[in-house]
Amino acid sequence: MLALRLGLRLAARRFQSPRALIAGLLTLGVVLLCAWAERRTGLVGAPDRALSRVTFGAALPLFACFVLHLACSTRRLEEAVSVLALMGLNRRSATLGLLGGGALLCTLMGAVLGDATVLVARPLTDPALAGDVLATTWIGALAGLGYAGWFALGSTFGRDGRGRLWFLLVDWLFGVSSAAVLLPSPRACVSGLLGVVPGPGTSLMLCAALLGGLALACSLLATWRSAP
Amino acid sequence: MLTFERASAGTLNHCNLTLTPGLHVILGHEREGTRDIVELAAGACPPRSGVVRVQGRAPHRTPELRRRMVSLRHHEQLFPSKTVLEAVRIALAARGLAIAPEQTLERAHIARWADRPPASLDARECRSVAACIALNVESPLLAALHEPLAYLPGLSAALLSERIANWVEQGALVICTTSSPTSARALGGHVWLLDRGRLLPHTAGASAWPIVPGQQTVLLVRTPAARALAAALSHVEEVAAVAFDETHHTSEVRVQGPDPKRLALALTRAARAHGIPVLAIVPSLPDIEFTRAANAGYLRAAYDAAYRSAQLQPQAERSPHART
Repeated sequence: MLALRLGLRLAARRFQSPRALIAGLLTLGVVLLCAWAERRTGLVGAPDRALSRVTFGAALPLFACFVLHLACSTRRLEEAVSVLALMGLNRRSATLGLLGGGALLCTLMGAVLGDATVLVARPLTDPALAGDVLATTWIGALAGLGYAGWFALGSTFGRDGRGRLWFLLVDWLFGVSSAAVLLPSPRACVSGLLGVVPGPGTSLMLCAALLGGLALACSLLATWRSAP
Repeated sequence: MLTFERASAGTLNHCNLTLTPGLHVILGHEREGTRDIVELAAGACPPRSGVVRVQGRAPHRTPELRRRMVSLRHHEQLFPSKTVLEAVRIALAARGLAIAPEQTLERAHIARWADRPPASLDARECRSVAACIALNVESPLLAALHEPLAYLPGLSAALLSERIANWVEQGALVICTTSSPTSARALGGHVWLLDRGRLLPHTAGASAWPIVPGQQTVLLVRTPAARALAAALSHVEEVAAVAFDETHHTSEVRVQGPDPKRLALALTRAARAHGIPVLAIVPSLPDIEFTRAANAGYLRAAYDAAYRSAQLQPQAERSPHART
């Protein structure tokens, strides 16, 4: 329990850096700008385009990748908690705590980015705005969680955890597939949730379950790949 | 017991060693893997290949084992808290030590760093704080220390030496790595020489310095009357060589001889006889390269001697005198 708590605290300390704040503000700024540009291009379907192309398609994955990069202190996941491991604490428990901190930040950011996009891309007088914001909140939060797990697993591969970048590439290359069921990547699941690329058998609930399951499986696998 | 079976990590390749409780000093260059030995023994990283075991278990995969071990690595990390004091508090709490962090820092004479953020400490200061935390562990199973008598600003070497002696008395396995023969000599214990990834036991025997076989004792004498002392020593039988550099070191004389005790006595006698004040007598040890070369030469000579005697034995058996 102490390892879990200290892992969470370690993540919190690493996020208290100016780089994290700058990355967050920059991501939000880009998302707002793109949402505004989509609205200027055409009001019909502007939120969907902004959410699928920029917010959850590029901004959130990049931000989540950076969050895990910060949480791991530019190293592999296992090495990221070595300061606690050498005190005699269990690496796996500390890793879970560290990933918990990262997942929390990504979840919050996903919800904030989604809401900000909808609020800018859709007119404030739109009667469907409230419902859309509510739906985007949970989709964004789930997407953030999914990406946190995805990049946590990526952080266990490669030298200095460079597997994060491979996973980002895999998500971009294979996530455009309509069949989230065939290759469950966060991007494919989020596309299914937004209803942008409805594939065969990719219902809303199935996509949500897939994304949640993916986050959980990736996090557990990442923890298991670390030594105790 | 610490066991390495063909363990490789960093620059260390296929290292085999078995160390029992006691003080072991590994003398070698960092580029040959002295720091990797500490990393592996402390369980900071897994071996690239081979096996590392402490009491039959892998330290990298056993938190209970790591809790009973202390380490001082080349690059130490502190918990990224707001202050050094908080980082020390967390480290002590994680180890289950009920000691006030203020007291810990005070005892090591580095209390002035308490309010500094750990990120502001340089690598050597981080090592000092890590050593200060390690000193609180009462009876560790294993202590793996890299350069315990160097690169520790603010921390007294006597305090560390005393603690190491204390751990050894309690039956711990203390393994120190250093690239300085002087530090190795100051630490004492069983000295091993790391030579291209192989560990050679020290070649103590008839040599003056146990870790440098065949090398005569060299004493560095500090005196305001260096020329007079050099002149006085030139006729002394126990002294094999005297070196005095009037241009660069006007108050130093280097004295060389085969027997350290006789040399020191002769030196003192000569100084008293001529009324020359002596400020300090410091043994001068050669560097690691010389130490390694001396050991390699010693081992080669031993091998040649064994080979020659093995060749002579059958000849002696074949000779008619041997039959009668």
